[in-house]
Amino acid sequence: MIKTHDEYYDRLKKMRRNLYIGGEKVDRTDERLTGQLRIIQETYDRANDPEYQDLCTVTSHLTGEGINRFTNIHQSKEDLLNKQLMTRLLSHRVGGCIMRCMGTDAMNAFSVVTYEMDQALGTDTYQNFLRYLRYWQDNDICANCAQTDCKGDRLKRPHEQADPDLYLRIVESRPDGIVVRGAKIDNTVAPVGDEIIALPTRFMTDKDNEYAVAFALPADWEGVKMLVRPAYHYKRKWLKAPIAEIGDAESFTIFDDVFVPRERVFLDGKGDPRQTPYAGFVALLFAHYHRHSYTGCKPAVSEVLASAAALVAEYNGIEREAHVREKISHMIGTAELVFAAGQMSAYRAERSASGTYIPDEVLTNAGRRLAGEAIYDEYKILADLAGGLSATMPFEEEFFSEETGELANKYMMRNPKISSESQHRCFRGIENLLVSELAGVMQVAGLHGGGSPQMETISMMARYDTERLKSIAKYLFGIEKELPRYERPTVTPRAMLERYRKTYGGS
Amino acid sequence: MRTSAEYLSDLMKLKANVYVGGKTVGRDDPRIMPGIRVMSTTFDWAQGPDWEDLMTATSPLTGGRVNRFTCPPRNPYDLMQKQKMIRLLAQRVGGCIQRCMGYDALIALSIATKEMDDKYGTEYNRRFTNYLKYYQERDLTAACAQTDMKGDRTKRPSEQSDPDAYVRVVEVRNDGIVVRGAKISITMVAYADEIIVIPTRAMREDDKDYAVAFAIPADWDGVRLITRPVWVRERKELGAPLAEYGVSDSVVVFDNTFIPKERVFMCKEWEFGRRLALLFADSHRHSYTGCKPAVSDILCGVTALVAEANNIEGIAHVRQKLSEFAGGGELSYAAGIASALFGERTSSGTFFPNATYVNVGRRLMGETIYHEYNILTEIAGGLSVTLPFEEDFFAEPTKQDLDKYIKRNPKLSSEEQHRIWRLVESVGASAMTSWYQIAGVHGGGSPIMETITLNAEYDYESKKDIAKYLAGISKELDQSKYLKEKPTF
Repeated sequence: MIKTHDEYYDRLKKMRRNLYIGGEKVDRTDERLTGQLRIIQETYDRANDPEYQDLCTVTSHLTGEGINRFTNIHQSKEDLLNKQLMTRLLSHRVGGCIMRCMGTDAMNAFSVVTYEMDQALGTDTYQNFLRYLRYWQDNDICANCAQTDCKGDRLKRPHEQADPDLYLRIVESRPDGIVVRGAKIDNTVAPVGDEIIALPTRFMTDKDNEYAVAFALPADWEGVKMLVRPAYHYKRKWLKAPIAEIGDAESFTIFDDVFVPRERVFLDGKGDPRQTPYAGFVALLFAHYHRHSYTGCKPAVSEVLASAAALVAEYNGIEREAHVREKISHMIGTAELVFAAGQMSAYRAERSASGTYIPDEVLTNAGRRLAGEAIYDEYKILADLAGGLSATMPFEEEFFSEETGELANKYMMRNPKISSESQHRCFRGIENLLVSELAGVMQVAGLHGGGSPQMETISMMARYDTERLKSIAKYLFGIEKELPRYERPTVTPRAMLERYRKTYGGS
Repeated sequence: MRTSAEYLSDLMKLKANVYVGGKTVGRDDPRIMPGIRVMSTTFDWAQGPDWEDLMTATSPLTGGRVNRFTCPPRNPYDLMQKQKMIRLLAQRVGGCIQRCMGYDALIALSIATKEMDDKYGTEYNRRFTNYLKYYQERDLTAACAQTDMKGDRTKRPSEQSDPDAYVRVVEVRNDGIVVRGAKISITMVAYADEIIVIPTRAMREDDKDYAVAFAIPADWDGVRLITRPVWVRERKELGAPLAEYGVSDSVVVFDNTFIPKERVFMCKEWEFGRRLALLFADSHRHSYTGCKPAVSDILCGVTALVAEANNIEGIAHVRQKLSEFAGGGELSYAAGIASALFGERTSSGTFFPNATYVNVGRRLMGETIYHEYNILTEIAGGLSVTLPFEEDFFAEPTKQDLDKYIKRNPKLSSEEQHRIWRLVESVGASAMTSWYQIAGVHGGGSPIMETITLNAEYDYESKKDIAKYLAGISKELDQSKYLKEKPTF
């Protein structure tokens, strides 16, 4: 069922008060969350907008009904391509991260892993997952995916930490469910999500069974506490603009001995240690889908920055300068290459046993990494072309006050063909993009969100068959007589199961 | 001081131990001569009064003026003159001036022999000082042979399956030592008077046979120089200085070579292996803050000239790219100057550059070298690799064709334009180009070696103190160490 933003927001309003901001306990109507809500609203509004419906809605493979694409399980390469394009186009409209993709990516990862685990172990997780998915699609659920653990000492594995709770763990596994303790950090969307989906952050060893845990819970569930950090813009008084309406909110989510009913548990390594190898699979598969989402949103971020750079160059009268064109072409080049990597990874997708499509892992990682490496340079280019004004501009009020307004507007003028208000709006918008606290969030997210370039390097090198790669050099140098035809096969995080088997045995 | 003619005639007296392409060749082999012509400039420019202050120094050993390439720096001024001399000479020969390696080996030994004597009561410094005096009086040139074959890179010298993978002492006698092994990538040894051997890395006690330093004449018994010369295509009509210069590198084989006692400067003092290796490396990196800016200068000049030929010199992106050469070269040069101002007077009296500054200066250039060639190629276009042979510009009927179609900027004659493209070919697309690119990355220590050196010595703790203070973790910020640091003038 495709729901409206109002229906979604009505649900939020009814939720238990478990958000903590600046020493207060607040509910989901807190004003500091409106920026993030405004972003999520876009995902409901566009699904109800005839112009976007072909992209933002899809037919459910469970019910045959129309659903929001954010609740879809990718049934084809086309689904993957459409998800990527939707992510890009919606990101344009909100000036960056569309935020809702993480829940979608977690659900797609579950659709693959629970099925394959059942096939291998005879468990019955997949049926629980399907029931949960049905609930998702019927209600057009918006969810956070809580992956990143606190992780304590970075050189130690979960079971080696001084405090065993530094990774989320199962403290008790019972027939009717599990009790979990720990915390997940950097959880975007959690403050305004219906649900929280928790899954492991890394490969788990045979001693980390109790950390092999995945589940979904309503975001206001008993024992769940969210310590929330919102980021938002100065309020505009006169020059209202979409860019100034958006915001972010991140949760440091604490699970204080929380009971999860069995039908909402998707991985339980404590109750059934045979499930532990699937922790690495689901961790990497979520990351992989999420990196594929990034090949949609990151091009949009580059395009948002490039559009501002092109506009300010026009207003500054330097649009035709060779160095300006070269700089903007860098941003466009990055955007298109990252998008191309995501498209190509979809074209090369494999159909998994459950029917869900998995894109190629080398390509999603190559695309996400390029974006991560370029992000600060893109901000630099915008700063370069905009000049210093975006960081030194007087407050909005000075442009409208009787005493200084006329003068302020006079001296904002650059290109005489453009109105003073448009020029003011341009620099005010760049202020939001470039020198606000949200700009800080976007830069750090651009580097680390969905996996830092370093993580992509690790994934790529783990999955890439460098021995076969070397066969080219061996042939060209005359070390080997023949060059076996070398076409890289599609690779996916399923390889994590193999890694576990090689290291710890088992089937 | 010798003239270049005397240097050449001394070289010709050396025994034939240079091997090229399966044959023993004389040092007057036409493939070796381009390197000799580079070396000759270090004698020629020491002659005239204009360069005297730069190219010569007063030796405390002989009391007279000697070629600066033979005289270890005594103060920051000497270091700055050394750096400047290398830059200006390098500009004249199209890049590497080649004589600095021997100079840097002398500098390293002047310090290390004194420190070893102070610790062990040895007499290396006396031997070395005698050798240095001999070297200065004869105005000698030397190759520094540092890099061993190294075999398995993950194993130390004493762990190698072939014990000769690093040069080692096989016998100690009353009158000297016998050494065996080989050194690789040894520039200019084919036309050097002397070879100075030093260790390439830190040693452990098990490696003590590999802790060895000595100097011998380049044609000494039991020494073979297996040589790879590099040069640019000969010119027939358009002779040009750049086309005259080249370089040779050798594998230097020590086949149970006897080294007289007076020429031995380290024998099994394994604890000084790292010190001596690094003294040379850091001194050589200081030399690079002179020559690498010159390489940037040359690439910058060629790029600017070719931009003029293409009539695009004033275009904004061209000017921005030209400024990258200036930015890189001058920053590295500045690092060299800073290394002199914040250098150290060692117990030997030799003034040594600041290791941090020479390493950051050298690393920057190693990181940017391919980018610099990229800029040249961007501005020059593809003609450098598709330019017809020189002969076709002088033969009928193609002469008219080429004279007409080579023209771009009407203010430049056809011959000038042809010379420019020929230069771009030599600088940007010749065998020497590849040599300079690889030397730019690896010569004197690759960027990763500078990183390792920096990380071994850089004071990261004091940086963390700043963060701790700013974060409010520490109440005070102790900057006394930096307050006390003063430049030496």
